[in-house]
Amino acid sequence: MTFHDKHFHWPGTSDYQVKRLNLRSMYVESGPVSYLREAMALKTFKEAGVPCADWFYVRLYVNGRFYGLYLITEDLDRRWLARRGFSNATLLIKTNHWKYANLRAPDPRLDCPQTAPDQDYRGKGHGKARDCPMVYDIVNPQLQNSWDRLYDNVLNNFSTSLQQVVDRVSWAGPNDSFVQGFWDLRVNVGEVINEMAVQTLIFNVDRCAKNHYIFRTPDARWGLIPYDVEDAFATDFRSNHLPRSCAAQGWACRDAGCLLSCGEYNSISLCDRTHPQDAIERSTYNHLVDGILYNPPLRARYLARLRQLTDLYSNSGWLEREIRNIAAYIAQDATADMLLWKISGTFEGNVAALISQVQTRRGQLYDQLKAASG
Amino acid sequence: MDNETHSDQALSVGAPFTRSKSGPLGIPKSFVQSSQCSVSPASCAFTMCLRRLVAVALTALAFCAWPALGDEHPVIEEVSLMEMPGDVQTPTALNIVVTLRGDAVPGPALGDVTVAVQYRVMFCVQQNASLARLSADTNIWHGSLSSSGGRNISTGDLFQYRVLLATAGAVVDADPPGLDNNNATRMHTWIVGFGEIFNSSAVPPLLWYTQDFERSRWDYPTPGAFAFADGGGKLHYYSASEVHREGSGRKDGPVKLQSQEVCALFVVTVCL
Repeated sequence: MTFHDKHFHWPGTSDYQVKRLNLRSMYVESGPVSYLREAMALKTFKEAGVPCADWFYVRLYVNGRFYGLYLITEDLDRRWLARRGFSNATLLIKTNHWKYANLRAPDPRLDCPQTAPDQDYRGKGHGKARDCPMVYDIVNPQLQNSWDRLYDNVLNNFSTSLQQVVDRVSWAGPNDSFVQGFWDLRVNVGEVINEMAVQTLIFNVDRCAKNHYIFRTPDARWGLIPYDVEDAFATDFRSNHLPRSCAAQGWACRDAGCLLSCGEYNSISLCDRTHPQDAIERSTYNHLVDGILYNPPLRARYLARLRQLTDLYSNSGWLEREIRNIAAYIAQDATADMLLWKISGTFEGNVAALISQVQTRRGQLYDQLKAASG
Repeated sequence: MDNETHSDQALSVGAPFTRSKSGPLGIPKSFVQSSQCSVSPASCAFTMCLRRLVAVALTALAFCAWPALGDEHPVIEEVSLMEMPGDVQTPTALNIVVTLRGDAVPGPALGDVTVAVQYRVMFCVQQNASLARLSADTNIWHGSLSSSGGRNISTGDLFQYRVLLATAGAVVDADPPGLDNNNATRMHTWIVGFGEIFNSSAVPPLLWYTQDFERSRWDYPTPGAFAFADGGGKLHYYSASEVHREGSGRKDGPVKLQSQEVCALFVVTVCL
């Protein structure tokens, strides 16, 4: 939704006005439809100190008729940056491509360098950089010359350095000065680790390549912002798939409907090189996440933060309480939406399934954290 | 649709249905929607114009100045709208009540005036209706509207209206202000039954009005208007808005589909 004549006044604020809003139908979830996954994910991120979009529920009426329960989420733009206390010189970039927007190192010899190593767009015959897919979208331009290639250079410079650091750790070790300098000076390591840990806690399965914003603060340090998190709290059931019998499929599941019980997906190392998002397309891991998980001191910080968050938000019962609180608030309209759109199950039953997911996930996290520390 | 001046009407949700707060003809004071420009330039300046942006205020002041020049003309003092909720047999009626400033109080004669309302329900063709004087010794005109273009007015409808005052066939005042009676975009906006909608759940309502839902299935911006009330029940109307779909699953993923009747003449499909 875009507002032209005047901007939308965000409820509960005195003067915060936005030009765009996102209207989320919650029609498909990574589990029985509960209308809670995205809201709970964003609430957890915010509670844990990760910058993310604000949200609120609405009853949508289209031309006067009830159309359903929807979630409004904030659009991430320069107003959002200012509201979150970012400098207005922050470069904000949306990851657009499902496969390539994972901070992979480019190959400048290719027609479309950011598609390396697949080169799916090679040979189009229109010359260098023509017909390339949109991999990243610049939200808040900061360079004086807005030529797209300059932004590509900024990104490519970072992702090339990232790949060099990852390679260097394997033979020079994590205490190498070049490696340490990269993580200290070019990455908001604490914030990235915090974001990774929350993603793992809430088991968001659609996050390794796209569904992030990446940002670079004026001191040239990069970080991640979660976005499109409706696939959090994933189960083995997706509302547009038939129920699966996933247990028999083993560790390396190849069924897109099997997530929670699939060892490759439910790993606390999801999005590293051995746990890509896409079971078939193995390049769909996140190179920044991978760089942290393959650096022993940083991996230890990540595991410590994940344990802390699991204690704070899962083992304390906070997640279940918040789910029940929001569920009570939306129950009437969620039920009406389910009735209108013939969504299977009952609202109460689907909320119970979500709570069950949280409990199962808690067990997985503690088991894996114990194994990782042992 | 409305321009900036009139699109942000802050309408109280609860108060219109509290009938003890009577205004003229028992109409709640808080329900009155009126530009105060017709009273005097000074009151306009302090009750409305200062709330606007400077540029808009300057425009409004230009309108406000008009009545002062024409003491020989009657002016619209107040316009109010009251809902009479309907049922299965009786459609919802909207009562428009217009108070003029004329010879009932110091000012010009009211014997030769006509008061009319231009209105549109949803996206139906704009209609005109004459209002009748309540009695010969009052300065109040009124009328009741229950349908438009063959379509009964019902809860959730977008209702837009404008009152015109004419003497000897010439329009001399309008509410919202502006004497260009061809300017159909300058209208008040009201959501029929909004109080009922608002109070039916703790989750706030967002009302979207558009003629072309099919277009919104795809990446094309689809024009429309939004009304939203926050927790306090204050209704904000956003006239110039657009909607389009985004997301990687938008082409093939399951969507909510529903036929929508926006006027007797149109049936469109909604896809979100």
